[in-house]
Amino acid sequence: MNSSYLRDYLVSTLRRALRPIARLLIGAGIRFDEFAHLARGVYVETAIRDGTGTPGMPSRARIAAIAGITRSQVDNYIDNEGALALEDPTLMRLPAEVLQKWHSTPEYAGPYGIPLELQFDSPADRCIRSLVALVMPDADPRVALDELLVTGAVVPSGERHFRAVSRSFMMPDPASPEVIEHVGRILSRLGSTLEYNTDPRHSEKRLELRIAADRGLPVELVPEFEKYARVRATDLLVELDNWLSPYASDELDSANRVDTGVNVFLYVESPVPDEPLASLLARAGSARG
Amino acid sequence: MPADVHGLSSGARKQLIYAVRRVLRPIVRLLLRVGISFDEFADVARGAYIESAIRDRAGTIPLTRERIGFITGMSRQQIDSYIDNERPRPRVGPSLGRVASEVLHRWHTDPHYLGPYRIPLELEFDVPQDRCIQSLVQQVNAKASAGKVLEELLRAGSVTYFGEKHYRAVARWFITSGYLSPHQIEDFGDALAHLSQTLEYNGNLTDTENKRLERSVFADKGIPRSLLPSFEAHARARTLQFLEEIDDWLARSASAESSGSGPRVETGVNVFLYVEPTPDQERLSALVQPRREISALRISRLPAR
Repeated sequence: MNSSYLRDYLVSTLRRALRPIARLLIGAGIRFDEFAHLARGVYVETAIRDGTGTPGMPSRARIAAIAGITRSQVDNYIDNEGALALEDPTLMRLPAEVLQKWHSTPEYAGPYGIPLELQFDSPADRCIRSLVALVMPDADPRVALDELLVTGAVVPSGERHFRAVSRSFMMPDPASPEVIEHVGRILSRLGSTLEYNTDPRHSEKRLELRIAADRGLPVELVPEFEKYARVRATDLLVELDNWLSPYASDELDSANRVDTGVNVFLYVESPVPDEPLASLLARAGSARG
Repeated sequence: MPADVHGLSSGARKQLIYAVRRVLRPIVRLLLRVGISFDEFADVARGAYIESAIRDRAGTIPLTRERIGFITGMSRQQIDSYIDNERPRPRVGPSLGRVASEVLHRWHTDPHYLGPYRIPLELEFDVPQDRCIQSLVQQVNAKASAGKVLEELLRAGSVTYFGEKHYRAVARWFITSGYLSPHQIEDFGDALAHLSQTLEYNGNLTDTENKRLERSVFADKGIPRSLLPSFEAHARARTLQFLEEIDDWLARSASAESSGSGPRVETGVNVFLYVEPTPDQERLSALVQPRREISALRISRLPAR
């Protein structure tokens, strides 16, 4: 395979992958310099944490050479802990896990495995409070319940009880830190799986499969397709969830565990004509402003 | 993921920057592996920023080059240079791998290539003319070389020799292995772009009811590492079954013959398994050699000016 041909593919892919990220950042008012600063740091971090291809601890000069960044910039990222954005976890995972427990723990399920309706704090060993504590002992159960009610995954039942009406958790506000965290997490998980599969050192590839409609699908059939895919995907995910559930117990040894899961998504590409930029500007009112 | 989320709280902004850091990490890992330096990356990213500012713009304010400079934070020269010298971007057609995937799909779903019980027929390379490897490839992509596509399918193990002249499709999926191929690179970009589009669509508050399918199942508090291969095997088997159902639905519902000539959209379903990396605990400075300062001795030996 011609390496410049491969490189062209890569540049084209990179452009495609960066466009939605750029759109998101521009929408949030984050300018290119700030993004470039972040990306430069990721280059330094990745070269250090994921290896430079040579044995032993790398030198700063080697990191600079590999990443194509000046030595002083490399020093800046290494010596200033705040130079790279730090994780600030939200409680987003909590409501999703509470729902999962509610649907899969025998103590919280009635006949035929249907989740029981629960009161907030009684009886003490089988209520919303105990369920949330099962997932995260120090979490505020009121906050978790509020999130579940807002998203409609849980509804009040009578005066005192709550009923789980969905097994999955959908987040409400697209500009909330929780949603942004979700976006970053899901995209980076996919990116990691894809990157893992392109690494020739990994002979066993990770599951990543796609099925697409050859030559597209008539627009009017998309809702029907979505409906069908959603039903089948729910079956798949419930089955995988049931497979995983027995291993989620706190009684099992917590050391040497890995966080793993499966994601299913449906996409619809919006065909965007790739006109020259200059012509788009001219139409918008400024040929050369 | 809305296209315009101005008015983000400081928490959300912080989260966004961290999210982008996470997303970039596997991308940069791949780029470093193939020797693409930061400068080259930044060049493409700068282009993506300008493209997005122009092509994805919202609102009615006329777009000027100054305004693009303001939105992106780039200099007017950089904007002009990119727009006026819109470099011939690498135009890449569908990779051989993509054609191979579609050939397999058609071989498994087109009644013309199916035998009793919907089992794919064994085919010769070029006879009979209307039902052979050549005709099959031709239907998928008239420009593709049937010989190269067949070679790719044989190499991936999706097709095997059958007798002296025939070929048999033994898998419904085309999975490349080993060295980084255009198909893998293409898949990398497509999959990330598709997921971004879905997440962006779902972030649109104006349509809260019709969210696009995007769901995960995960192990609460993880699973023992020793169980990972069993989980992967189970998930793979079940996913293949799921995708075959989807594929059959698409083949039944979406064939050009049965659904007119109206507008069509590219759509599909993607499933992936992830394994979260171990959290980074050590500081970067602990992972590199200590800084080497110029010693006083060396300074004293420098020639005096």
